[in-house]
Amino acid sequence: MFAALSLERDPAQIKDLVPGVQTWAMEVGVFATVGLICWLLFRRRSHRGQVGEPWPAAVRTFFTLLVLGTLFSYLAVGALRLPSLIDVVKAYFRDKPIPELSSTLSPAERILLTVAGGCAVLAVLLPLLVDVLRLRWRRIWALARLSFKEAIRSRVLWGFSAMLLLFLFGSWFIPYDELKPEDQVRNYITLVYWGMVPLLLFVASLLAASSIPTDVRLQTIHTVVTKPVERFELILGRFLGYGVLMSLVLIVMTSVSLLYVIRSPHPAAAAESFKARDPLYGELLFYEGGQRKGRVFEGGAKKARGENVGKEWDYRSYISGGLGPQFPIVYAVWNFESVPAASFAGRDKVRCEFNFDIYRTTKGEENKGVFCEFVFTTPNWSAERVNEYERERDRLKGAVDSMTAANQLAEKYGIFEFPSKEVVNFHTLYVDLPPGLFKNAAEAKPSKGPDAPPPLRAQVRCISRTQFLGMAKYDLYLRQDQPDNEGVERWLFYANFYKSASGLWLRLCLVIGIAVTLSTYLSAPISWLATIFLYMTGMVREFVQSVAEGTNAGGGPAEAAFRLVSRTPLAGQLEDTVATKVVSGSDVVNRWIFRRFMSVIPDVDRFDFTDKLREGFNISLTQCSMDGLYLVAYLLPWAVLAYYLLKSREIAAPT
Amino acid sequence: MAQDVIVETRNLTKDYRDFWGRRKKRALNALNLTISRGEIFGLLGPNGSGKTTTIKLLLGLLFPTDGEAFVFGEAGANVQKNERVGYLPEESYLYKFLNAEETLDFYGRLFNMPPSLRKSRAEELIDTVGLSGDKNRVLKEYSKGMRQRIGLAQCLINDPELVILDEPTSGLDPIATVWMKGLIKKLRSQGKTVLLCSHRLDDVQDVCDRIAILNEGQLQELGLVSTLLQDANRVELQASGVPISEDLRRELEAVLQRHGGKVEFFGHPTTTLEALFVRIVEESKAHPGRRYLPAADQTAAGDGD
Repeated sequence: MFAALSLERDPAQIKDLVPGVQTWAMEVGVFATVGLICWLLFRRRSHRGQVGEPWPAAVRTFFTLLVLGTLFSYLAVGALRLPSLIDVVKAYFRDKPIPELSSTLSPAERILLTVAGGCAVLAVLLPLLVDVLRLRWRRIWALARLSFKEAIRSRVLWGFSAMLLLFLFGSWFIPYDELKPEDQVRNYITLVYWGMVPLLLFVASLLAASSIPTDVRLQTIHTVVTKPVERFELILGRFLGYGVLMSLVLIVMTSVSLLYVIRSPHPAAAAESFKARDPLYGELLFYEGGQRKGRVFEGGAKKARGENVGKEWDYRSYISGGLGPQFPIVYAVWNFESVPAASFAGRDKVRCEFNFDIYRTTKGEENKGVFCEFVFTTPNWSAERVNEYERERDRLKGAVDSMTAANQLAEKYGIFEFPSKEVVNFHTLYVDLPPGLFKNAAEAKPSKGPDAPPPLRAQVRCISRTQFLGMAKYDLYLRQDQPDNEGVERWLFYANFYKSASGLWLRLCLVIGIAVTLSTYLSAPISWLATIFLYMTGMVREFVQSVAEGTNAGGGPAEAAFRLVSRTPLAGQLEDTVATKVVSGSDVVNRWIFRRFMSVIPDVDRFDFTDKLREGFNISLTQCSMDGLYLVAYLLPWAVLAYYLLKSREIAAPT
Repeated sequence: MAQDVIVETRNLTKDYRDFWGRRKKRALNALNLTISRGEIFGLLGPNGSGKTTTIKLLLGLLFPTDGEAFVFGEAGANVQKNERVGYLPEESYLYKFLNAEETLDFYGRLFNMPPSLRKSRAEELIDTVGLSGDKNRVLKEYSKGMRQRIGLAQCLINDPELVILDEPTSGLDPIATVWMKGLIKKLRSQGKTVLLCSHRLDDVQDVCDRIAILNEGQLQELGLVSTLLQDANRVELQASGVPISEDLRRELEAVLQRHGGKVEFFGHPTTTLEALFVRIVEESKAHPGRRYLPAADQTAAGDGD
């Protein structure tokens, strides 16, 4: 088996919601504040007559309060920062070293910035909220149907037949029979997504970017906006129309893809891929310099990461097999803080799966792999009972079968050992835990505190000398679903296939939203190019973030250009010259611009669930919902922008 | 604003500007006019005189540079007023992938009309504009005149109080033009107000009660058509049942001389080319096989009869 899912960031969880909303209010609030300032400065120069009905007095008062709320909250943040600013100014005039301004926010500053951002966002939203009362579903749906019919009758959908060609000839390029039969389904999934993602995104962005500009060019929009149609209805109608169209296309293509993937698979591939593991993850810690005490490992320096073996991709860190029993032990610990112990206790077994990377420093022994040792404990395990435990273990040996013995011991003492398990490089292997362990965990008294033992702790140690085992947080987990039930697993895989398509659906909504917004002001080609640019920047968002934060190798754009011209290596120190000072100074400005731009770049990768599908991991509904919420939060400012752009646009102005 | 004033502009001015905000052209300059309920009001002027700009300002398709435009007492950009307005643009800018029924259904939905009303209204209007036989064809297969007809139907889908027609006879053949003019008069008889914009003077003359003449964005003339066209220095007398003769001419000249005038034209009046065309086409419809014969043939044909 070969399933190596790498999750470089934690999947979104419910607990991320409140801090996420706070950050959103702060970031979007900055843009809203800039918008408010522009409106206050330029409102007298704006077109006359474009303002509809005057607002009721209560709405005007509320708007004024929101503007004042924004102003005073930002002023309060300024007041909190004033002392440190004064220190900087004093240091400058007294020729003392200038203290660095803290870039982290105090709780008070965070609250004030959230309030300021929230007020600004609400103030900017207010005209839209007033207009929302006038929106009518029938008009929005009429415009959506129009977009739908337009796309159908302009034969855009013919483009999707290209996908069928891919399916027809895709197998030619995947010689799985000769290499790894178990990879067949995995490769097919990769193939259909490589086909579907660009095709659907291309068509969706093209349709959405060209809709309103084409209406304006052909002047068909004149007969629409001269009806009692709110301009925001135009935006919603277009978004909804293309959204529904692409959703239907996606459903059809996903179904066709599923049929393609599941048609006569190789038995090894079916066993490997037709599953949707529901993993329960723990927190990973590393201990260096510990020792065996009783049956478990104890002590040593606690570290968040293990050894670095010099690999460029530092997703995994390593534990060493050591040089012999006399040397201190290096071990990894997974703490499972929330285990459904009562539920697990009722099962025949609970599967713990893992997949580790092997890093060999010597060839090792011939025809022998790398071995590791597992110890699982509950809070009821006590080193004081080790002798009693060993006596009982010896008594049970031969009296009952090994699984029953392990179960009885685990239930009584809260420990389960697996002394030697051969590890295969990047292959998912498993250890079946006895239910008694979870019965014992369920009976444990919950304790609190930083050093309180979790309901379940898994300790892993490499026992092959001079070899290293690489591991990351998501490399070991408990299966919450029931493995070995092929029928159920297959249906869960089918469901997972559609859940994976929901990630593509979110990306389609994203590009449609951006393209429709941009097309309210820009021409069709420019809107489309800008949408694609934003999307592709989103694909390298982490790199852009590292440039914005100055953590990437080689510096910002100016420094990178300078290094290129002066042939200075990435890691080389720049000489202290006027030119390098200018370069560094301009990169400070560049980074500031990049940081502002970061909020605009969509986090595209979070909507990509393909890895989970391919490697047979369940895509949780929580994750789908949280990513859906992220999309709403991201698109809301775009919708507001589209509202203002279209409302302030002279539809019939000569271009 | 008086109750029966439907359209009013006050110093309405529109400048077209370039990307940098510099004025390229003043399309309309301080236009003041009012249109009352039940009128057919014509906006006349050569190309580029500001007629269409005025209409677009009234409909909120453009925003005034200065001054104000009111329709039903509401600002041009206020979309609520559009509930009571019907607009036929110069070209019939409709979605060509829809058929006539779908087109009217779409615009009916924009007025938030319930399905039953949409259906009955669409059927009625398709019948009115004479497209019953072509209602299932997509608009891209329509001729220009047919598109203008369906355009008029979408303009009337909401039974508007104010109908704004920009070059309504553009692209229509003389028969359709006559039909269109008849329809405009019918709209007035139904109590609707019509704002008509055209550079076809005969159309305007035939149907409008009042006109405004624009040139280079400036209002040049405003008033009742009958008053503006009246030539106070001339007297026209039309009579029937009297054969033309030299005696009659002399006697009439004598009478006119006694009153200080003179005869400028004496003879049979001519009809308009439009009237002749309509008569011939209608005769052709009434008598299939009718065709033009040269004078000699006509004689021969007469002889044969």
